[in-house]
Parts: sequence; structure tokens; C-alpha cells
Amino acid sequence: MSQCFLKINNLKVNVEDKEILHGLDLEIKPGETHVLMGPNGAGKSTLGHALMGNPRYEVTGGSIEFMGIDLLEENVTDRAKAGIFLSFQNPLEVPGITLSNFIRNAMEQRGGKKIRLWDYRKALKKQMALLNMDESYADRDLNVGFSGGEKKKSEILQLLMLNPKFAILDETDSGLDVDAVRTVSKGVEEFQKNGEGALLIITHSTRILESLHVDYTHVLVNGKIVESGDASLVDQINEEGFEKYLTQN
Amino acid sequence: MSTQLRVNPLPSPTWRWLKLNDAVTEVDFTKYVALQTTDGHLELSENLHEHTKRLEEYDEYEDGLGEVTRKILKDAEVLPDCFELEKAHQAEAKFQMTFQGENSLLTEELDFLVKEDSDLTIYMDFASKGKGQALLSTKIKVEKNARVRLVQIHRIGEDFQFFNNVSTRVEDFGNFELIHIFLTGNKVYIGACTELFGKESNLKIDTGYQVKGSDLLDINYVARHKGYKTNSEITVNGVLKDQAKKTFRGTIDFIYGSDKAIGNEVEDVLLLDQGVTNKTVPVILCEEEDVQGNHGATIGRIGEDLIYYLSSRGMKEEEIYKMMAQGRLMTTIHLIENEEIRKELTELVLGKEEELVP
Amino acid sequence: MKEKTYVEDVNRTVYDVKDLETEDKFFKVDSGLTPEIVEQISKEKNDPEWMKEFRLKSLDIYNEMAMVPWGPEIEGLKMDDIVTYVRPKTKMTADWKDVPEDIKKTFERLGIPQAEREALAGVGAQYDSELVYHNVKEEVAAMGVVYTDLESAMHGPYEEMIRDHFMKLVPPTDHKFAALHGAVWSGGSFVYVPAGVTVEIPLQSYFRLNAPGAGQFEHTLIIVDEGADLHFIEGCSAPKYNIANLHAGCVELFVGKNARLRYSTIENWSKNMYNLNTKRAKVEEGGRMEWVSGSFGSHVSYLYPMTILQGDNSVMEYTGITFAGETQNLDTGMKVVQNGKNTSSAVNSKSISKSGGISTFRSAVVIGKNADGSKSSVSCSSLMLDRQSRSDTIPAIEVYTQNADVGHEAKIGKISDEAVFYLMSRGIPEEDAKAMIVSGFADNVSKELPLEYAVEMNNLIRLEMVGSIG
Repeated sequence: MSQCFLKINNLKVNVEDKEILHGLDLEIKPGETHVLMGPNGAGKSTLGHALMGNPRYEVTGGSIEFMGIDLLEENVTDRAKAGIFLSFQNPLEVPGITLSNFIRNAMEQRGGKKIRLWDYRKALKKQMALLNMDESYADRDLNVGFSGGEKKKSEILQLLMLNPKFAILDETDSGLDVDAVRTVSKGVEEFQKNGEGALLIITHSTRILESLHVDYTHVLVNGKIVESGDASLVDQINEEGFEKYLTQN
Repeated sequence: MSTQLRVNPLPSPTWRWLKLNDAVTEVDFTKYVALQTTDGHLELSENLHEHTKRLEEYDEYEDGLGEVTRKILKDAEVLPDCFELEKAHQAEAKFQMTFQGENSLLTEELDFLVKEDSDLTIYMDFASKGKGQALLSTKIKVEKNARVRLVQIHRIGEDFQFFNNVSTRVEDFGNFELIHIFLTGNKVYIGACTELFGKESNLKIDTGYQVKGSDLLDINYVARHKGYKTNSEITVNGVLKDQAKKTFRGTIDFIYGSDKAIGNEVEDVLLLDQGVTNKTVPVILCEEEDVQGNHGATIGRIGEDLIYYLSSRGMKEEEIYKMMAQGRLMTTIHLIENEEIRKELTELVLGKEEELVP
Repeated sequence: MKEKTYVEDVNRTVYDVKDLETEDKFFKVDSGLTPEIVEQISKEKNDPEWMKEFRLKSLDIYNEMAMVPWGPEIEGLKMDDIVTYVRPKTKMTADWKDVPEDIKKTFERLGIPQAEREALAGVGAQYDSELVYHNVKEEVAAMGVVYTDLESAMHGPYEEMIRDHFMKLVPPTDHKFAALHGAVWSGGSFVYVPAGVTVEIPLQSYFRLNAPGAGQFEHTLIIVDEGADLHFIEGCSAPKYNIANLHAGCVELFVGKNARLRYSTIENWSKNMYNLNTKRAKVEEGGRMEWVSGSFGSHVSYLYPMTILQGDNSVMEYTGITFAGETQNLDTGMKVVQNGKNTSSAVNSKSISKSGGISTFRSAVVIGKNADGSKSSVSCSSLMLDRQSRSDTIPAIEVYTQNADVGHEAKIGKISDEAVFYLMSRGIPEEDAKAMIVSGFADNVSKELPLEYAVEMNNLIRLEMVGSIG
């Protein structure tokens, strides 16, 4: 078989010595959009952080293979350079570094070469317009004093600018009003359109999915994927909730 | 002659073994020399008048640098340069001083009287050549509803000791904003004492420093809240490298009568090398009930969560440290209103920005 | 007139009962301090020769040293008027029945024997300069735990251990009152917990200073050997007199490798007391020192338990509350010096000032240059209950290594109007709401205490909220 894109095999993850994921399997192919749903505390965010390599999340078993490399051997920086991106649920504030300088710096670090300022500002301006972000945000310190919605837009802006091969969106829609969800969703759609990038959208609501193309849906309950299906599963959960999966356990 | 000076006294002394109650240093000089502000470059708005009449009340102002300031200025028989800004005027003053003179203690007092409803911005840029020492004392009276911004940029050379005193009194509804940027300086002592005298008067201090090599920076800020509903906000961001030494003393004092006053003080220090010494003393003194005082200090490494967040965007740890170190200074530089000065300092810290051309 | 919340003073009637000390029952040295007095104390106590020399040397140091130039005024303390040694004319006993009737009554009022029966592994009770009672439960003694007075231990098999440790952590040169302590110390406890032994229930010493114009200078030396575990409780009280009393005790704690020691203090000296106590602990690799400290009494206090985290991975925790009322000036806090790698310290301090009381939180955190990977977090809050009082926070932080993580936060202010409003919006009357907030403020300390002490502390902070109309 040819080399796979992302393959998670029997993944077990501990947080503060407590096992949260108990052997999770998932395979994602290039360009696919997967949705991961589940009730609070199921371990959805844990999967995101384990993929990104958060040192607080300890992988105790299983494997993650990404484009031929053993991801568990790589540190956070190298995973990012390999093309993995995580949109944080609670993005951190970074005083003294402007949003614009930060993204350019990150792009140059990843690409290993300088980017012309003119080209960069042009691209940034375009993506900010798409996200209804006021241009002045480019010269504000990264996330400092941003509202919840602005922080999430800043994450999606980074997604669009860095254009990773595989992006995980961790509850990007939580705490946002209807308009903001629509804007964020538009940004994600742009990412889908852009190219080959695959997506794993972690959410416990379905609002963000309304206008997005979804290939697969998975339901995570108590640290295990209990059901997988196509986009229609989203609608089903929308109507029935997670109750049926909870009683199964 | 070599004289021992004790400067920057902590208003509320503590254990002697910590050696924080003041800073002790030796100065070696044979004569006092008046520092000419015109030695460097001076630009004044037309409406900022020079005066020979010095306000007597300046003698009541407390010197952040300590009693020694007064003594030296007296011994040196300093003739202060006094400036006055008329009621309801706006002005800007730029002083560029390059200290020079071996074997002498350069001294100067600059006085500013900023009258009601006026707005004055003062830029002072300090540099030095060769060995030596200088003491500068700036006294400011901020009258009712006036606003004064004092920006002091320190890029003192090697083998030079600089003593920088700022004493301010702020009357009703007045605002005093102090921006301190420290780039270089072998031994620099900064003392700033602000008396929030009038009701609803405000003090805002923003300081950014980067101390490296074997340089030493010693800061003593005192905010005396005397008036009703006065406000102070002290923010200090810094980076220590190599064998740098830094002491920061910050005191918020709520004096009886400062009902409903608020004082906040934060220091964030990034330590980059094993040989650094960081001392921080954030003091709150309080004899009023209905006040709010807060202080916080974060010293050491960059937090794990932040490292993780920035790594997840593909940055290496050393790059993150470099960027955050620059950021400590940039947060303060961002606050400078004068675009030319801001741009020059930004380039100094971040390197020259390429031209924005298609 | 505006309604004013009134928080009542600590109720101390139970502590203020004065017991007349007649000459036939008590031996006293003359007041003041001379080599003759020190020699007399030494003779009275049957010191070994080395201890007598130690005392005289300490006296020299005392005479040479200047008072500290910071901290509360202690002008009211005239050393020439202080009686440094007052001994009840009774032998120390391990049987409560043998304690003289009047002394027994005093301690019974304070609930001492009852507490021993109910919740303690051993009890020591000191009356003025000497211990009158010392007892340790049989099963605890059987594990090899030594809990006795320092004097008898000095003449027994532990003499060498005491000589190796006595005033080694707090040398007489530390400060003037440490030197004084070295010269005239008397009473106190010696505790040794052998390696690997866990003492399940606490040991307790209770100090009572009853003689007017006297000083109490007890010395507590605790050695917790490798892997052992102990909780030690110290309680202090005295009736109020019009002349100054002095307490200059000294506590030295040695926490061995992977051992743990918790040291809890409820201090409720009377308001004529100058409490100039020195407490210090040294912690070896993987060891853990926990301080719980409640300061309610005394006229003036200087009290800063210090911890030296010498071993790698050693840990210190400090939880303290200070309540300064009328005529009180309580300068309390902590010090920690972190020398080992990956050491950590956590400090949580609360203080309350009312009716002209002054409370000061003073601290020092020093992270040494070899303390790679160490952490420290200090959090202190102060509550001002009126405009007559004063509350100062004077923390110092020194960091000599790059690889450290140090955080400090402090807050000062009054009872939050918003919190009061929130509780009132749930139907709680204003006075109750304020009372709840004040006791909630002290909660983190009372939670750390054994139940009966938590109850005592809550009694101490008995709050009475009265709204006056007019």
C-alpha cells in the first residue's frame, strides 16, 4: 500500500496521569474534511493536542503516522513545519509582537526563506478582508485585547496564511455569535478551496458545519470513536444528540 | 576624589542582607561641571518659555533618586533651566544629550511648569562618550487638568554612570505619563517619585529595558497617592542577558486621604542567560480603606503554554525567545507618539524594515 | 450617619485570666541582663559546660549588635525590665495529675489535656520558662519517636545530636534577639522522628507566659529523619499585663531526605507581648516543609518563618493569616532560599487590619544560581476594614538563575462591594454578607488546620456585624 496521509492507530493519551483516550483509530486522506463530535469531556480536544504534540498530553500507546513520518518522534515545532496546524480554543496573548510581524515571522521560519514585504502585506490584506477583520488589527499585538471572536478570526487568518497540509480546528466556533461563526466558516471554506489541505473539525455544535463540505463524521465518547459515518451523521446528531451513544457504554 | 553614593532608597526598608534598601556605588571625580542641555541638540516649541524664576515648591518634591540628589545639586551650585508652558497650550521639547567629561560629575536640573489645561511632551535622549558620570534631575509641576508626557531614552555608553532623577507633582485631574526606555548603559540609576497631589490625578509609567553584558540598571519608582480617586499604573517589561544586573523597586503608597484610589504595578522579566541577577521589590503601603492596590511580577522563563502556542506555528524555541525579548521593548516603544523617534527605535530593536515597494 | 460594619476584636477572655505567682511557688532571676544572670540561669538549668560557654558568647554578641533599622517600633521594650527566667517550683512530669493545681487550672481552661486525649500523639506544656508537662503516647514512643524537653535530652543519649544542631540554623549572630535567645534560652521541645517513621497524629507544644514583665525564650529543635513524616503544632498565649512581656523563642527544623514536616502555629499572645520569634527550617533532597501560621495576638510581632531548600526537588509551602487589631503592629511573612535544583515554593498569605491595627506582610524569595528549574509563587492579599488601620506589603524577590519560574501577586483593598451586592441579591442581609466575606477571606488558612484548631481560629475571628442607625 502506498504511503498514507494521516493514520492514527490505537492511540492512548494521558492527561495528568489519567487516561483520556483509550485506543483511538482514525485515518484521513489528503483533502478530506472530517468532523469529530462528542459530548463535553469525551477527549476531543485531547486528540487535537496530542496530534500537535502538547507536552502536557502524554501519549502512552499507539502511533501517529503523517506523510511517512512517525509524528510521535517529532517536537511541536517540527510537526508544525511538517504541515500540521492547530487552531486553539483559547489562543494566547503575545504582547510586543504585532499580528502581522508574527505571521510573517512564522511563514519565514517554516519556509526557511525571506518573504517580500509587499507580497506579504498584499496577501495578508486579502485574507483579512475575507474574514471581515479591520486592517488595523495587523499592527496590533497578537491577540492582546482581542475579543473572543477576534481571537478566533486571528487563528483562522493564521490558518489561511500558513496554509498547512492538515489543520485541526479545536472548537473554533465556541462562544461566537452567529455572524462570527459565519465569517469563520467562510475562512475555513476558503482553506478547503485553496488546495490539498485536510481538515479535522472538532466541535460539539453543528453551526459551523452548515455551509461546509463534510466527508466524514466521527462520534467520540469516553475516549473512543463509537461511530463513523458521512455528513448525514451530523444531521442525525443535530436531531438526536449524543444520548444514544452514552447509553451504549 | 572617590565618593560613595547611596541612591534609590526603598521607602520601606527591609532585611539588610538582601541589599535592596538602596544602591551603593562609587563615583570618581575632581570637579562639578554644569551640564549644558545645548551640548547636544535641543528643539523647543515656541510657546515653551525659558525662565529664570524657579518655583520654590520644587524643593518640597521628593526625589526618587534620594536625598543625595539635592545635596549634589547644591554642592555643584547648579543653576536650573526652567521652562514654562502657558495655560491651555500644547508644546513639544526634545533634548538630545551626549554626556562627556572625564574626572567631572556633570550636573543639571531641568524644571517644567505646565499650567492648567496644557499639554507638553518632552523627549530626552541620553548618550555618553568615554568615561565619566552625570546626574540629571527633572522637576515637573503638572497643573490642573494638564498633561505631561516625559519620554526618556537611555543609550549610555560603556564606563559611564548616569543618575537620573524625576520628581513630579500632579494637581487635580492632571496626567503624568512617563516612558522609560533602556537600551544600554554601564551603570544607570533611575529614580522617579510622583506625588499624586490633586484629586483624580493620574500617573502612568511604562518602562521597557534590555540589560546585557555586565551592565547594571537600578530603578526606584514611587507613587505617592495623596488625592481622592488618584490612579497609578506602572508597567515594566524587561529582558536580562549575559551577566546583566537589574534591580526594580516599585512602591505604591496610599496615604490617608487617597480614598477611592487605584494603583497597579506589574513587572515582567525575561531571563535569557545563566549569569543574570534580577531583583524585584514591588511594595504597596496603605493607610486608606477604600483603595485598590495590585501588584504582580513574573520572572524567568516564557510560560510553557505560550511556548507551545508559538511552537505550533512552526517557531523554534530560540526564535521564540528572541522574538519575545524584542517584544518586551517593543510594547513600550509602541507607545511613543512621535513617529520619527518611534521608527528609529523600532529599527534599532527589530532591524531595518525593508521598503514597502511593489 | 452611614451604616458602618463593625468587626469585633478577637475575644480573649479565656486567655486573660491572670494567675498570681507567689514567691514560694516560683523562682525568678532578677530583671535585666548581665553575665551573672546568664550564669545563674545556666547553673539553675545544670547546663553542660559547652552550653554555658555558648550562652556567655551569645550575650557578648547581643551586647554588640544593633537593633534592626526596619520594622515596627519596639521602644516600649526595656530589656532591663524583662525577667528572663521564671521557673515554677515544680518538676516536669509526664502525669497530668502531678502538675500543680493552679497551673493545671490554667491549661485546662485552654483545653490542653482534653486536646491530648482526643487528637494528639503527644503534648508538651510550658509555663513561663520551663516545661511542666511532657507526655507522648506509648505507641508513638515505641516507634522510636523522641519527644521531650531539650534540657533532659541534652543530658541523655541525644546530647551529641543536639550539640550538632542547636543554633546551627539560627546562629546567635543572626540578629540581636537570636543572640539574646542564645544567652537565656530555656524550655522548649526536642523531637526526633527516626527514618521512615510516620507519626499519624500531631504532636503539640503549648506555651503559656504567665509572669508579668517576663520573657519566654523556649527553643524547639525538631529533626525529621529520612523518609519520616510529622505534624507539629504550637500554641501560644498569655494574659494581658500593663508592662511589656517578651517572647524570643527559636525554632530549628531539620527535614531529611524525602521527609515531610508540617509546623502549625496559632499565636495568641496578649497585647503587651513583644513577639520576636525566629523560625527556620532546612530541607534536604525531596523533602517537604509546610508552614501553617495564624498570628492574632501580641503588641508587636516580628515573625518570618524561613526555609532553606537545600536539597534538589525539595518543596516549601506556607499558608498564613495575620489579624491586627487595636494597638497591634504585626510584621509577619516568610523567607525562602532555594539552593537545590527543581525546588519549589508556594506562599499564600492573608492579612486583616482593623481599629488602628497595622499589619505588614514582608517576604523574601531568593532563587540561587544553582537552583536550575526552580519555581516560586507568592500570593498575598490584605483586607482593610477601616481608615484608621494600616496594611503594608513588602516583598523582595531575587533570582540568580535563568531557568526559573517566579510569580508574585498581591492585592490590597476593602471588602468588595460587588461581592456584597451579589450575596445581597441572593437575599442575604448586608451584615451577614460582609461577615461571610471576611470569614471566607480567612478560609484557606483555617482549612489547613486540624479541626479543633480551625474551630479555635474561627472563634478568634469572631465577627459581629452591627449596623448603627443615626
